[in-house]
Amino acid sequence: MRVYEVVDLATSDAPPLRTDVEAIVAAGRRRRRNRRLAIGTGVPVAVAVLAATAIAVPIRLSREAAPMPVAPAEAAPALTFPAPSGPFTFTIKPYKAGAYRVATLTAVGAAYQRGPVYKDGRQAVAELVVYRPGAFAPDQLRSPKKVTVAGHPGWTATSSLRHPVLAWEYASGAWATLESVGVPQKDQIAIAAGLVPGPQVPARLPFTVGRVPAGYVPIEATDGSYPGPQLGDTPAITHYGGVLFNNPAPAATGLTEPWNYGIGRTGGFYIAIVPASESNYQLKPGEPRPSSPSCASEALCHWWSRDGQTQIELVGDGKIPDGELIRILRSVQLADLAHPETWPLASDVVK
Amino acid sequence: MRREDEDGFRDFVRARLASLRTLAYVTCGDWHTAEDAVANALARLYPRWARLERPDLYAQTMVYRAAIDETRRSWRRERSAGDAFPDTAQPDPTDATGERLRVRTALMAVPPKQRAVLYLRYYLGLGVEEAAEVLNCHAGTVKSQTARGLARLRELLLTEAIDLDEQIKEWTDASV
Repeated sequence: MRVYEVVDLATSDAPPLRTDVEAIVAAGRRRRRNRRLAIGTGVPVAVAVLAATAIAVPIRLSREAAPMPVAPAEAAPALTFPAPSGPFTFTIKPYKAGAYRVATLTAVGAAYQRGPVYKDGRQAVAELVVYRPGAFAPDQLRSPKKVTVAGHPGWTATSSLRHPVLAWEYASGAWATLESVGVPQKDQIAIAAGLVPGPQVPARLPFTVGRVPAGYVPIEATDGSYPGPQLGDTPAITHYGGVLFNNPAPAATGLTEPWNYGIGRTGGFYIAIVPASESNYQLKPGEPRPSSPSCASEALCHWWSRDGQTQIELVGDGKIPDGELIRILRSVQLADLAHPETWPLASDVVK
Repeated sequence: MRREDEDGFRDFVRARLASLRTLAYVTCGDWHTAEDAVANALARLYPRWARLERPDLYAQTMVYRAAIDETRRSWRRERSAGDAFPDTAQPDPTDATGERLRVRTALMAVPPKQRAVLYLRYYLGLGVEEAAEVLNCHAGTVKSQTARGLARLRELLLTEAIDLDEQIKEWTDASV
């Protein structure tokens, strides 16, 4: 069966369309008319759009139309958030906020540290990002609305993934964000208000890499998670770790969101250590471990530990040739995965 | 809008409405949600129509984002499950319906972004760069998500004794 046959079969019971071309054209005309009205009268566009007549299929309301609950008027006692002692050092403690659990932060770099927020199960319902002073640019948030978090100034906005984002100044000149999925606004504020400093904990990685292309530097390390956004099911698929490399190192200022792989003009790559059972590219039962790394497709390459239980995944953005990715993979040395306390520091990942 | 532009928009909607709804459905797993996402996206597309060079990619981008966004809305979970994707395949007297449900179960167990990538690339035939533009990500991400999505779908269909006879497009293209 081909993919198109899978899709055809899976969608063969599609119900009749409830809308039609003319209804969509009519809705589009109203939208254009309301935008012109708003521009001409100075009425906010969101209000003008809300005044539009519904078509047969309802158009959802702007989420910004709902009032933002205000945190308690009294300010929280001032906390001291120490500056991290190194580029890959965590300084935030895990904590609970009502039904939510801010887990031990899992990713850290020169501009921020971040981690998943759980309610139940292994799906992270939010991602907490704690930026170093000067790294975050609240003035560049998209469509921000003012809010107060436990007496501290803050904003609500929308992320590039169109999730709600709560940003607040947790210390002088230092901001944090909470990007969430399905978390009520009052709960977002409660989670934010519970942020507390912790001890200095340098990140450790379950591997070192001996070959890195010229100009590439590690910019973010994940300790106990999978590289990338710490949201959804992604953080939980590995309890090992990974590292994101980029060329050149991006500026650690002017950010409104964390880095993810492939950013920068010259691109990047990441290495992740994953239990073989969590990989989408598993060895078939009885299949021996390959004698050398290979690329399943361009810019997606794998190798396995000697016992086949652990996979080393390297994902690029298509700019580094596969041959070079293979050479990088060959230079990866796994640490003793059963003893995380012996893992090398993330700052020493390149050997 | 000039009459000829509006006629062009009508033709576009008439030709693309069903496939856009399927893209939204594959992404979010609910027909009602999918149709809402498409209707809203196309209504937003209308004022921009005359200025777009690639309205097809633009519409797919807006529909994909709207579908992803709609899945997050809590009020959707209160809607009747009549057209929603069931958690498990239900027993059915006809084998054809059973196979459809098993295949749909497998497809919907693939993560949403990977499902969208597979639909864009293997159903609509988009290239890597086009799919990257729709999903607002790098080409490498599209490739890795394609590989992962195919592997995941293949694994899930195997549990239903269905072979996925699909190769990674980069491999088949290279062999031509």
